[in-house]
Amino acid sequence: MFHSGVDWGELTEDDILFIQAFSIIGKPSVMSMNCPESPVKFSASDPVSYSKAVAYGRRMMHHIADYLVRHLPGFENAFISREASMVGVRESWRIRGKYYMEAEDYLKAHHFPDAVCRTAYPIDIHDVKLDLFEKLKKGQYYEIPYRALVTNEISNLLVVGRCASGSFAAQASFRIQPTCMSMGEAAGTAAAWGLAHGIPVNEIKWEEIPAENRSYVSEEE
Amino acid sequence: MEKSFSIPISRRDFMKMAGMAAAGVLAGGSIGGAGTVNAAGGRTSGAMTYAGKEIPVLFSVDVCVAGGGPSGTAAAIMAARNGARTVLVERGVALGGLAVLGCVYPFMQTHAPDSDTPYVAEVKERLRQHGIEPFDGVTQQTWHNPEILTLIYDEMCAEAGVEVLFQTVVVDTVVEGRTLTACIVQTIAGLAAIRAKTFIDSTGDAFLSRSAGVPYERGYEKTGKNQPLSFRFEMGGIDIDRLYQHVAVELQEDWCKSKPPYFEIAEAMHRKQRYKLEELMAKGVETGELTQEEAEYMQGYTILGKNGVMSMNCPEIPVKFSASDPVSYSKAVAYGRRMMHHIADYLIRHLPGFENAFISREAAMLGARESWRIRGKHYLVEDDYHNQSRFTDAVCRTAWFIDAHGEKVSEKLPKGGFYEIPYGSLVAEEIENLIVTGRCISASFILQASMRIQPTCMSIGEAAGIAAAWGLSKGIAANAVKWEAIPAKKRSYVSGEGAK
Repeated sequence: MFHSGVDWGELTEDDILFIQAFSIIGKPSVMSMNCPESPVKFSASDPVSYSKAVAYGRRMMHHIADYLVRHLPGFENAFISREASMVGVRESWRIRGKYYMEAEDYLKAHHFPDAVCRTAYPIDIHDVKLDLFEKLKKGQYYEIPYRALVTNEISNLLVVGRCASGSFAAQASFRIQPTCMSMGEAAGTAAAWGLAHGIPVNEIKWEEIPAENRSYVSEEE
Repeated sequence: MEKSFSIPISRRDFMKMAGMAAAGVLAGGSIGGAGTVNAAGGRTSGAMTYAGKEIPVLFSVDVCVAGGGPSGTAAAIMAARNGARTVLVERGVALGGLAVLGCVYPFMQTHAPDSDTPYVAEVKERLRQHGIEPFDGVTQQTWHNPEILTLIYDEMCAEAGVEVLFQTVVVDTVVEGRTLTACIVQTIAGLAAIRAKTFIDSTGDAFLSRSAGVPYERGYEKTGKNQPLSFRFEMGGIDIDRLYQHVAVELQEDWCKSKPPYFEIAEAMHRKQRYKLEELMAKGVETGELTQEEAEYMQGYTILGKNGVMSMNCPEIPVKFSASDPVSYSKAVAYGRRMMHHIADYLIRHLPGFENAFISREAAMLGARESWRIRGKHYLVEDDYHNQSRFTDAVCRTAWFIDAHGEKVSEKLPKGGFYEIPYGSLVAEEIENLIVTGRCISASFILQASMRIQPTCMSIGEAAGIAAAWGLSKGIAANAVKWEAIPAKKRSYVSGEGAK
């Protein structure tokens, strides 16, 4: 159906690279579109490139929406109800912190005594040429250590979310929202703990915080 | 040596991190490698020192417009069309400001005859080309479509060659004597500078002006308070036919002269006029489902091209929250969101047509009516409205009433009446290469309550862009440009002749 669109000139190859939609609970008849995905030539870490991606992406969005409205049963009376207020960035910058997560941590399902959360989300690089990693078996998971959230250079700084300390490949796994939420949860816990006990955050040993005060306790202890 | 945001990293290290043995196509990044679309293609114009650090100069252009709202977008497009190399800085990811990010819909009407300047007329025509007819057949309100409007603005900027920088905020200015030499911006990558010959302050909050040392004021001189903020939103899943049946037929509410698809509901308890929906909202206060604040003002407009969706012009946030204080504004956000949900839930439970409705969209910025205003060369006052002032350097006309929520709501001018806005209200003595547009021009709180509506702001921006390019082409400082000396056919508005 989408390839016909390209044939007829209603869509470009870029437009159809990835099309996905999810219904939204509490918003009957609304779907959240997980597209367009901007061509990788646009950069999430360069302001001029990013700005061009905005206009380019908006154009793709309208092409895709108009096409669906014209051709996909169910979409006959559909319309764009809302644009995102920020561009969906998967990866931009990452710090080099005390512990540097790598693909091996995923592949070998590493656990850590100072783990702040666990995940098994695969290494999800949106580039067909780089999609080369094996997936973990059911039940396996790796953990993210507290040391990936702190640095050697600044004693009172925690870094959470997609820019925590890890390689491009490792981040392609740990970047998803529940994992980021859990990292943030742990960071907030540690920040308050460190202040209450007079310990700089980059010297805290997460595993020494009483288990009942921690948001996550690794079985590794 | 050119500076950019690149963090030096060897290709070998990068490959190692990506787990690849062989070099291949890299997935973007700030390295500036082959296949990336970025600033390293010669666009960076050196570096400068700011706050003790070296920051890149991203652009060195003719005109830099701060703010991609109704007036800023107009200014940038017109400056570029008139030959100026132009950069437009916008903190969101969409152009259109309050119309698009703020859900302020539709555009109000000036009530003045022939007030549409060419840019405003063009935007309406482009809406038509996209299947959106902005004229409801009765009023001069502009019923647009926010998603289409922002696409139109992208197209107009691209056609004119405007360089737009999204997700970028102005944080400071560099001033030498009476000249703004650069603005400092926060980009996604970090701090950078933009040099320009002329700057246009379309921030709405007069940020560029205040930072550069132009005198300013804020709030009503009698109370010290700004106009109230609103937190607008859209609701979907509305059965508009059922709603119309209930409001227009069953309740016999007749003040909305336009019909679906251009339909409006409203009630406003503080007004002299009584509205049929007031009873419904007042009942909510009695039952405890709504607070008085939440019931005070409720208004909704159907949106063209979005069947079943209405743009809600409420809640209006209590005036104790300030549009010019960051802490207060932030509390207003959470407070307003709570009001929004209460109002939406109440309508769903009680207003016919809303049975299956839901909040489909929140605004991405609060609706600020007034925050700061500069004291420029000419200071517009309330008398200019009542006396219908005219100016040889007028850039547009309007007759929207004095609409100061909670303070002063004036009578309309007689039919055909209007006042004009002079170029002198867009410039200041203190900074020669600065033009100010939109709601923060040089006007009193009361007069601003009239001039602040979107078509007027668009026309002001349009004129600013023309004047900026003109001044540069003639070697005349922006604040010394005589608007009336620009050949009439180049001006967007000529006093005595109306809009061209």
